[in-house]
Amino acid sequence: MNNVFHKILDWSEVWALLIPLTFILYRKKSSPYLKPVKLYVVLALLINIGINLIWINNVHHLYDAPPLLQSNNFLYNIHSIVRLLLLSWFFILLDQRFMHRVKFVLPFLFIIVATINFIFFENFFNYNVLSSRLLATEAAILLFYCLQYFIFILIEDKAQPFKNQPGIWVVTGLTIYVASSFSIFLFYTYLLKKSLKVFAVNIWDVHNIAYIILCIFIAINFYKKNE
Amino acid sequence: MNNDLTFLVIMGIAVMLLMVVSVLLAVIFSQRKKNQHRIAMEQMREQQQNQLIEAAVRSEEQERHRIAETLHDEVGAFLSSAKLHLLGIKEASLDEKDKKLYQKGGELLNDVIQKVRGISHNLHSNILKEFGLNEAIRHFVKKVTEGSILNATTALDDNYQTVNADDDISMYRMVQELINNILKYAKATEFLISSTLKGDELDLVLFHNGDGLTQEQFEKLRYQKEGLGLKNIQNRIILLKGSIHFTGGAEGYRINLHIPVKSTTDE
Repeated sequence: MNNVFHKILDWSEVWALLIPLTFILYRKKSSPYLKPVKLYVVLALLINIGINLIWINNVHHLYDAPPLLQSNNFLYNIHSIVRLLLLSWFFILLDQRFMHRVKFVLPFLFIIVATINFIFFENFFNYNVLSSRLLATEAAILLFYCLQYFIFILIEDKAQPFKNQPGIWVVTGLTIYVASSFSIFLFYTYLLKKSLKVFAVNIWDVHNIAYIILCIFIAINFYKKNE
Repeated sequence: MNNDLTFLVIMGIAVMLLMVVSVLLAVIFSQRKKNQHRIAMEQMREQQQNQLIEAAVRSEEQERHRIAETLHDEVGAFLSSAKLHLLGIKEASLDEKDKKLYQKGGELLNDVIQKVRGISHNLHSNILKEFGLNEAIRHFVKKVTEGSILNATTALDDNYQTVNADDDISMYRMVQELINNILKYAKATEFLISSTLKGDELDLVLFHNGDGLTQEQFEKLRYQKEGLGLKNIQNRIILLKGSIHFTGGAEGYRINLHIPVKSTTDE
């Protein structure tokens, strides 16, 4: 039973994305600011399918993969970059007149920091482990975007019910996801170094559950008619 | 050391989630508070608007009253005096040309006296005060349609009794304005006004077979400077907390007035 539960969670980064994808296809017309989210769901699905296929091949040795495809860690790095760029675009499109310049600058800053990191400090195609630095930085930046979104709602004069705020479900789901995952991303490499692999694998389940929540919240946003 | 690390990771997740929950709760409560404030402000604005409308309608009514009294007591008295003076002239002593002028003057003076009386009564609406809304409407319909090609019918619910005299004046003025508009613009040959009292609500229906307004046209016209009459109707509807609906079809046009009738003690 426990094994089945783990299997479901291991594949959650693939099947959970099918929930928002169904609603994206079902409700073709949506607000322009949701365009980056749509794109993210599609790209994330493709990347995560790649991640899981490489992982299965590594476990079952189905075919002799080229060296580049022997580890899926670089795909996690790509996913992280894609997620930050697309979701920061989503926050910019929300057009909240608050910290506008910072919101524009942050994606560029992230690219610069990531480039410096992978040139001088880490290997982008690291076989053994994903980049904790990259994922934790991404989570921190996304958390900043989410918090500034809520601060804007708090300080603006407009009294709109919580559930009617533009993009509220996406932002709430993302806040839950990045808040739960930040510590996991930050300590993941360190946990493996300290021979806490079992704990690292188990705690990754928390990340997967948070990812399912994010996908469900994105789906709700696309389901809502008034959006 | 390893235990400390796992504790740190778990605590990190817990603290972050706690922060998320706090932020979400703060946003939800703040929006709820803002919403309550907005509703309170809207209610206050509506109340102020109603008070302004009420003041405007009351002052209009007072002005009508004052003009009616001035016309009746002063202009009417002067005209009657002028008639008396005219009657004082001995017709027999006049030549043919002056006789004709005397008779023409007398006729014109009678017409003016009648017109002034009519205007004065129209503005004052004594019948409304003495006999109530139904009788006032019947009298008004009879007066304005007499001798015209418009065949008017009234079917008013006599169960309706005046509860608030000011509300009756507003209803009467709306009916007056609507009938005047029908006479002016509709080119109708058939007209029916009916009323039904349902509990605390009075439904007034004006039907005619001419050219009328649709709800869309009414919504558009009532905000135009020229549509003063329609604006007055709208103001009185707001004051009475009622509704007005215009519908048109092949057989004719219908105006539905839905007015809550509350006793003054209820308010």
